[in-house]
Amino acid sequence: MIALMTVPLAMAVWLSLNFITFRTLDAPEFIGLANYREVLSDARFWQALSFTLLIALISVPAHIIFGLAVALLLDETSGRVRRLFLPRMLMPMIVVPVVGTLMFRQLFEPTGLFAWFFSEVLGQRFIFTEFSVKALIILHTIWASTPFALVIFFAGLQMLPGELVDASSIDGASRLQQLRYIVIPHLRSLIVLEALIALMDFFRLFDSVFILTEQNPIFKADTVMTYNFRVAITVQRLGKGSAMAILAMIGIFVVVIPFLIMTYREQIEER
Amino acid sequence: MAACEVLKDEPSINLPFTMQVHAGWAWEFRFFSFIRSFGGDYLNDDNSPAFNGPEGVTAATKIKAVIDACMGPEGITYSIDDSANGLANGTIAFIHTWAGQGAIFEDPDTSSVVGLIESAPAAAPNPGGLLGGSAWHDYFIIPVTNEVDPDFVFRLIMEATDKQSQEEGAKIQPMTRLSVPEYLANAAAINETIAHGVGIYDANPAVVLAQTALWNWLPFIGTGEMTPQEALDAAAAEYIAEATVQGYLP
Repeated sequence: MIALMTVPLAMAVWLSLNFITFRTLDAPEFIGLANYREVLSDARFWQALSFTLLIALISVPAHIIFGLAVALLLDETSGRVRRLFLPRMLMPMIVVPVVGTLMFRQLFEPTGLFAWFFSEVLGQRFIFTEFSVKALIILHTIWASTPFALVIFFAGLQMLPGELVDASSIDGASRLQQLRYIVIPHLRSLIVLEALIALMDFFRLFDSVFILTEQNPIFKADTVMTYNFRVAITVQRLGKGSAMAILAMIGIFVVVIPFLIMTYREQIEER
Repeated sequence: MAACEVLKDEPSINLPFTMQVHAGWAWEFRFFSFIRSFGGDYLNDDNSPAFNGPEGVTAATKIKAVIDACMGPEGITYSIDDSANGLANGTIAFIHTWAGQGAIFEDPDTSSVVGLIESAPAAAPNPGGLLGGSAWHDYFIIPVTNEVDPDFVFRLIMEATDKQSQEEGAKIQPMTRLSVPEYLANAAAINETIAHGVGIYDANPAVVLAQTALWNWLPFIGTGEMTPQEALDAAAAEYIAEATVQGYLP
């Protein structure tokens, strides 16, 4: 725990309080909170944060809805169909993220399948623009994160007491009513858990954005982590990069902790 | 650009010509070739920015002119692979690309267009000026012949980014870093470009900061969101701020 968490965190905090580049690794200069002030007054940081929040705002509910929908469909199928579909639906989660993103991107490149489909249907060629690239990032995020939600929800559905569903059927409840009053309340804690995990993941989104944007500023699609990388590695401002990483971590806590408290209270009340 | 004017009306192709400006770094590579060809450079001796001077503006303006004449909003998003694929399948008439791509076209193990695509030295952005290709970007080379001194080969490998070493290597038999030396039909074009090209970056750590600032702003010239002068001035301001913080400027 100390080696994996405390030491790196302490080093990041120390770096964030110093002016340090790759050239001055052996001579850091203590500058207090200046790096934090610089990050907070950096327009590109706020732009990156805005896009990160937009990704989370759309992708969190979307991947939960898709994951739940597919889990419900699979729950209705026989074991053979499940065995056929479930492993294939998990592919986005299993494939190496960089490879998956490259394959995803290739679909939209000039010789890609989707680009061909796009030109056949709409009569114009698909072009990477700020809108299309941002949309692809969000689409990819949903595609890549849905399988995990699917697994969690599918596991949760296996724990749903069958007699509850049977009783509601006898009472005349429709499928929609069963979903609303039985299934979703049963999965509620799992939905909150998945939302929390996804929020943290999306805040740390890096590889897909890096590949889909090729770091082209015209797309204005930096996330906090890709901008953090550019500041720390490309511009070689290790202190400022560390300050940004610390602020991102604090941001994650600010968003996640209220959820954790809410979940904890609910668990206590249930007991 | 004159060829593009003719080719853009040809229905069988999507784009007359592409060069890679699909990312900040790609834009900056092109800009480096163009500004050097026009006699300029990134920094003055005191590390103050020179890239936003007249040569830089001329270079960026020329790149924009090529984009407008040949590539359009679609072409500026073409990656290296997009350009190579387009050339191979006949939807792009000609491209400026890495030497290794030229070698790939001639590799019978992977290419379906062996002998169908010809290579030429990089064009000179400034007619009569240096060719718009650099030993640093496009031609990582080591000799493959067994007849040379092994120590010399080793030095060439270890100094692969050194212009003089690369030129020495080019006199023997260059290979690209993509390991297809026996199919290197573009060797003559490579040698010509290395010998008369724009060379490599100055070994000044402040150049990295100039590059980074240019990555952030040059692409906006391609989209028309900024004029060359505006983009270069914005990059210069960003460079000055960072170079001052990092101690390269007073």
